[in-house]
Amino acid sequence: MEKSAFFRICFAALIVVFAAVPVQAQQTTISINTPEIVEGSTVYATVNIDNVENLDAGQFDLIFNPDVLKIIGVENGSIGETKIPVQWRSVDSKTVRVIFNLEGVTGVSGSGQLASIGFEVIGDGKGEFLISDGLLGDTEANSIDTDWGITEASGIDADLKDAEAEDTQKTVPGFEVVLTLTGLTMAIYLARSKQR
Amino acid sequence: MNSTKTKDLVGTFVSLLLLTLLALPAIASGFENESYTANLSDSANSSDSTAASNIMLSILGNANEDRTIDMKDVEYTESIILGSGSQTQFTDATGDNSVNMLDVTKIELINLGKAKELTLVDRIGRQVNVTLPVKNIIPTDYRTTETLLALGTGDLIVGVDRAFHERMSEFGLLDLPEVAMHGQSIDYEMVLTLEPDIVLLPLSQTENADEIARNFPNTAVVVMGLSSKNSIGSDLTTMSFVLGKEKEANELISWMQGYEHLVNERTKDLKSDEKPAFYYEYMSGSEEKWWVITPDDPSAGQVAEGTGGHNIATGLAGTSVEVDPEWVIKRNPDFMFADLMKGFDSGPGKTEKDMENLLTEVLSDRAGFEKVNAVKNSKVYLVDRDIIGGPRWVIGHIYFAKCMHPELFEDINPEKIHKEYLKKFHNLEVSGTWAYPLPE
Repeated sequence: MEKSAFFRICFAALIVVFAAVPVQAQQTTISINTPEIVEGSTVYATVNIDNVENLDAGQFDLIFNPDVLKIIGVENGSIGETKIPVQWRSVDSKTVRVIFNLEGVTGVSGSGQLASIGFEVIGDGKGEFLISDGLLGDTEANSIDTDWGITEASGIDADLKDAEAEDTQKTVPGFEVVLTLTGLTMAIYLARSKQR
Repeated sequence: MNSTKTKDLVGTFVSLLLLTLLALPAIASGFENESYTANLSDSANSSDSTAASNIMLSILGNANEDRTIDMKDVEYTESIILGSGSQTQFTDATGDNSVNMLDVTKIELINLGKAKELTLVDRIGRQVNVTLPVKNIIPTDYRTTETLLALGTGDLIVGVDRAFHERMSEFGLLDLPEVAMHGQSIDYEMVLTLEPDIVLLPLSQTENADEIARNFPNTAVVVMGLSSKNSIGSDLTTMSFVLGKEKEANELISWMQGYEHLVNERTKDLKSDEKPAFYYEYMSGSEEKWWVITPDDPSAGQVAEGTGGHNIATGLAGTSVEVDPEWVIKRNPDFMFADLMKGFDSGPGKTEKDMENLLTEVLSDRAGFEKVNAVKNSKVYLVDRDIIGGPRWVIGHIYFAKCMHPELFEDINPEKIHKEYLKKFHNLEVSGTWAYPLPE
């Protein structure tokens, strides 16, 4: 009986954990697919998006090293079959601002690419990209909670940003609630098992 | 035993499912707390409001400051975000003090009629959120009520002011409760009972608007100049957009502009010495005091402007100024217009004979006036406020012009235009006399 109860508890705990994982995965994330930088070549930095729901519009600045890269254009992205029509403008020599607005207000959900930014590699050196001032909006004109990851440059040191991101993972209150409830369930179940 | 085990297993699954479902919002809120809010540079101060004579839609989202919200506003806002356009007063459609792509979506929602709420900027610059669609509305001033009726929104009105029943009974709504008097003395309890989406205040309540609004936390309290020549165009445009009556408003505005244009065209080439001096008296016959309406008055004073005459009160400080009879006699105006504001002695049901008697009364006890050109040459006219305020201001405008320049307006009959207005915008045929005498 005790062995059986132990098995059930473990099984229950596993289900709770797995049930929580997909929720965490629903967080919209942005990442940049950084190409290999070879002087004299043309490269494309792809801005990827994952797990977005009802996306209607958005914007971001992409910052790059102007000694190494020179922007040549920004191409539309897509999520599934839906095109992400972009407009862009160079804010200064090292920053390009990209905006997009889907047709109508029906929105799109899923994962894909927001834009592909083409660069000419004009020099030797570090060709890293940073995203700044990013914003995604849904079909009700509300901001979409987005994890801009380490690509976000907002004056905070990159290492510090990494540390903050780790802290965030550790302090998600939803997990505390799940674990507490799981513990309570286990205690109740054990008590009931002993009564039998 | 097997049965017990099965029950235990099912119970465990159900419990876990419930727990998981309960935990989901908590998990989600955890991520919300970590939300990233982008904030593009707060743009500089919004532009100053445009001149009152320019018709403009005062709703957040009207980025290009024209008369509607459409895809041009989307394009304009995008140009601002990309850095090639200048921020305007109404660009920030979401009202979050930041111009970004959320504003673009909000503008599209408004344009497509899918917005659940919008923010208008009322006549005195207050930002007021209005939940859509608007189901009922209370105008607290009778001239505002008339304007709303001209838009065909009678079915939305759930309360009126007492003056509307007393002075404009020809427009109906007789069974509606009275909740104010000429924009004042608001019956808060009654308004709360009626649960209006919007309470409209006239410009005279400018200083009390915020205090009144505090009494109606679930209602949009809006100050609008729907009875004044200077503001009726823009405020009609704004209110009609909120109420979904743009087509009707455009028709009404075009009607007003058509006659205004006509007067302008026919008087614009008059030389200074061809413009007679006129005296426009405020509240004629109502009390022993003498008041003159100046061109600074946004309603009556402005209606009389641009009609081919020269107001002798030009330059006086204020909108209506108390003067001595001697002041008038000394200036010897060629024309005199007596403002009949009370609304009981002229207008619906009154005959020309009634008005003739009223004119005699108005001119009585005015020692020394017999020397004034206007009286000497029988150029004294009575003008009911009904054709000065609200959409009918343009009828008064034509009347002034025709009185002073009958030769330029031989083919124009203000009385017929008045009938046209009542029929076209209210489907009414009302007999009465709103101005006397009618110039030949």
